[in-house]
Amino acid sequence: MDSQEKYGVLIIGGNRSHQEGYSRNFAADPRCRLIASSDERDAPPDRVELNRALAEELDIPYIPDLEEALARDDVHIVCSCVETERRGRVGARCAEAGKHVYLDKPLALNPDDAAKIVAAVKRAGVRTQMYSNIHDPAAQAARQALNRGDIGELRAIHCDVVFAKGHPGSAPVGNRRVEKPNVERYTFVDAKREMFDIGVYAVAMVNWLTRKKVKTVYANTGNYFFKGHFDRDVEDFGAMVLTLENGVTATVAGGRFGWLSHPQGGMRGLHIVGTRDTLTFDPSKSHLEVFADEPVFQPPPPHPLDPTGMWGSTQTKSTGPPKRQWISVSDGQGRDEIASFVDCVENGVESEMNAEMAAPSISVITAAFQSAATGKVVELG
Amino acid sequence: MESLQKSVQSVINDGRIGSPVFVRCLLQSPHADEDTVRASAALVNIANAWMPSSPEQIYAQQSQDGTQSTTMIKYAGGQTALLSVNRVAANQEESIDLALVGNKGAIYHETPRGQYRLMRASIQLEDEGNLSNLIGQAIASGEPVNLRGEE
Repeated sequence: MDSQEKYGVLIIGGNRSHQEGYSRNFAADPRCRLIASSDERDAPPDRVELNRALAEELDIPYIPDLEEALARDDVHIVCSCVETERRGRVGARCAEAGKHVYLDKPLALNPDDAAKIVAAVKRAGVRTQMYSNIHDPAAQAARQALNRGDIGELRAIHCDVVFAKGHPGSAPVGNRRVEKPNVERYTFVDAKREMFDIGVYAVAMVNWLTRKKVKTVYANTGNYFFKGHFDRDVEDFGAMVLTLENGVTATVAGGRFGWLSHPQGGMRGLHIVGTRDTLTFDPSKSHLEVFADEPVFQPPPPHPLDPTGMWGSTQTKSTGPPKRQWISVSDGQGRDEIASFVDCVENGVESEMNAEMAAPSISVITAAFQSAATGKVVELG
Repeated sequence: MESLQKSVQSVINDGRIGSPVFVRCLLQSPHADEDTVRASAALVNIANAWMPSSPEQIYAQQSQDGTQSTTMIKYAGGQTALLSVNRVAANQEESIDLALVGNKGAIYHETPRGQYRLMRASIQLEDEGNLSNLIGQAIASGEPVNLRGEE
């Protein structure tokens, strides 16, 4: 390592995971150096192959035994992007090994797994951070407005995160989804639980902005857009109404609704309602609209291993221009998500989205599945 | 609102967004005496007109001071509506922020600001039928109210 590179980073996970982006952001931070890639010795073979492929692209070695990798003294930070089903075990193990851990979202499959991570982190005294949107300029501006009391007393908060990716219109129309009360399986090649995977951004945002516990959850899930999700019996959309401990109402919509359903990346609305004012923080609404005699965005053809456009490595590169009719305009500048975590490690402070802050979002979404399954309001302890 | 309702309906009728599956609507009302439950009932009526199946369950919350109320509707075909009414300061304009998502596309609308706008945002508060009572019942009970048999 050169004099600037203080932190060795071990990555877990590879192509067709968010490690495609996280690892490169760690590599771009002058304080960090990628040391190796690794995974559990009994990780699924296809996953290991994808891990090795990314390691090769990044020109780092692949260590097949996670325990061997965690034993290295030159590893200070682990960036973990294993499948959601393995996140509790792997996240806790990395913390137990005394490593600071950057955790993909959602934090874990269920509240028990999230609690395992939180307990291990507390015992080890390491820093953690779950990927979230809290460093975005819109989130930071909303936080400042709340702290300044711009809206008076908070009465409600409404947050939507819906990704404009995938080819919609293939799911059967008008079928009410019959939800299951427990999340049993999360990871499929062609689909995933979107209220969980994308809704977690919005739930985590509500938790972070309000710092209040969620007391009740009422929710609905749907198979509105994609045949892959319908066939796998996982939702592509969900909406929930929450009651916070101070009586504040929060609503959340999370999902994925198709490439052409939004002029940018998707719905990202955040509204805070107070006794004195209502404010909207929506990066989509602050934009230039550009119309010109030029080629327009066309959705990439569906990739058999990634039909809803989740990963950069599987998206066809020759698909023409990106979406550029709406160009974001913002005065704010957020801190890079990865750099903010390295700041916390460097300064010995807790991340604002550490495992402890992230864990309640798993409980809320789990309760949302229970509510959607039963049609009842679910109370959280 | 009438022009907005008709415009949205015409896009639905043209099939451009496919079949409506989700509506998100936030109404800001500057009227100090606005009954946010009545206004919510009006929004529910509008959402019901756009959705392709009948409402089946309604859940609602209102802040104790009546500043805001939020209603969620589940429809027989699985669709969802999230509708919020917020009372804002008297010197602000009435406005509506709407996203209507279909299974093949979406409609977005935000009330334009300023004196030159061509549409009135004012929501019509007549003819909500029994909806205000049902929303009030959901708020009072803290539980969803089943609407089978109601229309």
